[in-house]
Amino acid sequence: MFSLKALAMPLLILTLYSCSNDSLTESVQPGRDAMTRSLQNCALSISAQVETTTWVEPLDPTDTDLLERQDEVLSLPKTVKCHFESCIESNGHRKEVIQMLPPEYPITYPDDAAGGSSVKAFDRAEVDGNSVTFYDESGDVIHSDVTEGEVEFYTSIIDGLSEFQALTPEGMDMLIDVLVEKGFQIQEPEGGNIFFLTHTYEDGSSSKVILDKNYQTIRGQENYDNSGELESSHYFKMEGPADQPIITGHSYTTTFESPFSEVKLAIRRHSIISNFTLN
Amino acid sequence: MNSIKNHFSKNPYSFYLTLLMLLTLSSSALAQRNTIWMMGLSPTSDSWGPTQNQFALDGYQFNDLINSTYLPATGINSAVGQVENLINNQSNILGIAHDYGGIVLRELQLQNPNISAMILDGVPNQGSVGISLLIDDQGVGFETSAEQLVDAIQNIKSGDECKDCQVVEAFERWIKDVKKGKSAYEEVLPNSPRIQNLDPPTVPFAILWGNQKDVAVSLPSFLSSIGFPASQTDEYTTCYRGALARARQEAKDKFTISTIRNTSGLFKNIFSAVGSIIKDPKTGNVFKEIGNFIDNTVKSITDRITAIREKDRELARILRCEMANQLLATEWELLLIENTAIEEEEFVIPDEALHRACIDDCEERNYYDGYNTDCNDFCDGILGMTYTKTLYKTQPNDGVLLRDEQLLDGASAVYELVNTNHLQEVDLNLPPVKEAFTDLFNGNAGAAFSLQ
Repeated sequence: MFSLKALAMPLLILTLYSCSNDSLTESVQPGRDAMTRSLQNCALSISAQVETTTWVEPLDPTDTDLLERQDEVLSLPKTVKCHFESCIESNGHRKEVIQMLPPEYPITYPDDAAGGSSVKAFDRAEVDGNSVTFYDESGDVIHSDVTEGEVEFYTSIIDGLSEFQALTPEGMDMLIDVLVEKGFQIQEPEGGNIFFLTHTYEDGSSSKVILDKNYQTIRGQENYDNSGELESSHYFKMEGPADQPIITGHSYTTTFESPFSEVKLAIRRHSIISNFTLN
Repeated sequence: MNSIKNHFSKNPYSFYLTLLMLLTLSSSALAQRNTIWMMGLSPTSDSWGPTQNQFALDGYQFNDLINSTYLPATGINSAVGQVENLINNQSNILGIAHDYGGIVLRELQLQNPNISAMILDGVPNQGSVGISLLIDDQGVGFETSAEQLVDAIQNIKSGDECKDCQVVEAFERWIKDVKKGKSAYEEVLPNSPRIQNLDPPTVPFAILWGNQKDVAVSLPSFLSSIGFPASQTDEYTTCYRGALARARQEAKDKFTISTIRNTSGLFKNIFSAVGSIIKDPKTGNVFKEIGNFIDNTVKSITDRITAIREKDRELARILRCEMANQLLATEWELLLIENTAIEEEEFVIPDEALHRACIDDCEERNYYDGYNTDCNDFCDGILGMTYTKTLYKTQPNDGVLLRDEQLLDGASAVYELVNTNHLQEVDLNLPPVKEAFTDLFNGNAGAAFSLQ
């Protein structure tokens, strides 16, 4: 049976990009009780805390000495944290609250440090179906917007509570053999739990999908340009038994060339996911 | 009655209120202090109008002698001559000036004994590096430092559509506007003969200096003052915050849904379907059955991999846009102090978060490759070497002028206008501005500044 925890994992991922890059203040939580009440009577409810650290560093560590002042200003790590509660009703309607929190591992720079502060986008966000409202610390609305229609997607998740037929190790080996025969580029690190499936695009760029033989799901993807340089990558950290995995971390990297030092820099973002609950 | 001011024309109600108030006063109270109000390259004192109106309504007694236009952009000597003609040998004049107007006022005071006191509000008393960054192109055809910065920022954005209220474009427009006054502004560069040779005032003077503290939104806030001078809201900052929130939401919606469909969707289905084929094959050739299934799924697999890459690219775009805008704000602050030794400080980054990131990455690699690296040992070594950062210290500034550029030795009073950018330094809606002028006009810093 496809476990509820496994089903909840992707929903957890949903919050990784909204809990990011805000400044770190203790916040009041206007309307929170009301919203929390509205998150009851859910077919599926999930809550967790996500702490995300973002920083810039040379893609090649040996280039550190080549960095210019401007690059160093960007290299200062910033950490933010949020609590989220998500509710999916049986008809696929989603309600979600994202509340920014003081991080467990704060990094506080002196006021006069260049690049030490960042813009706080919102203190709290509330999603109701396809509408989202952002609030500041005082509870005033900063911005309202319409998100893409997601009802169909969430309905499909609820509908996806179906039988999952796990592959045996022998079955996994057979699938890999078939994929190779069908022309897919497969790499299998010896002794590891994963294999890579590489897709090359017409322009010579490529994507390498990381597939987990144990959890039988995607663990990440690396994207390369047509000269083989890393363009972006993301990975999920998973823990728990194979039939009940949970995502406990996520990392994302993208690159750009510094216009100041011409060093290839990586923007790195790492998230720790904790206090995961599912009802 | 002497002409109160032309600026009432913009607000006839305040004029009548003031008139009524003045008529109720005794004639002895109508002794008005002569004043001149000067503003940057503006040819009138109109920009001071709201400030003047408010203080007139509050009962302060003054008469603005600049009741017709003059042309400060023709140069400081020319402007001094024109203003001298306007003040017509009136005596005991309090001069109040902002920005470039303050240098005109200082020069005027040295030449004209009728200026008895000055309020210098956001004035480049020591010259302005910021102005030089904006106008000094080191010869025709070269870019100014500010233009080079804009180019670098646009380079990071790589032509991305940032949907960020076009803060960089607004900054670019500001550069062009300032460059229009280049010939006049050259007189207030730090190394200009004017600034180098300008003698200190010989009358009492007060300094108001702007300090926009919130660096993270200082640039959008400053640009708001330029783009929306009449607005009481901080348009660019509001827009910028909204755009950031929207960008996060878009990233979440577009990127993660695609990812979810992969982690729980297509590949999960492939594993499950192949598992079902193996468990319950329809023919004796399981390998061929799996092959047929894969043949029918190839396009879905490649489409999904492509979709994930596109969403990764979208997130990269959002991150680059945020980095670029952050860099524009901080690098502008650092450029302002480029003529001074930039103070540096070694700062040890609390490494718990980064340590956890390193451990997670190391453990994932162990998992992927079947390695048995001791991740604690590995990360302790890495972090011990790299997680001390050099911080570059900025100096308080109003977005254009550093604190030290605004200050001038010998002032009777110095007021810091907290959370006030250069263009807000004349805005009485900001409490620090109103409090400073009220204190001065009440005579608390000396009778020389009193309008009572």
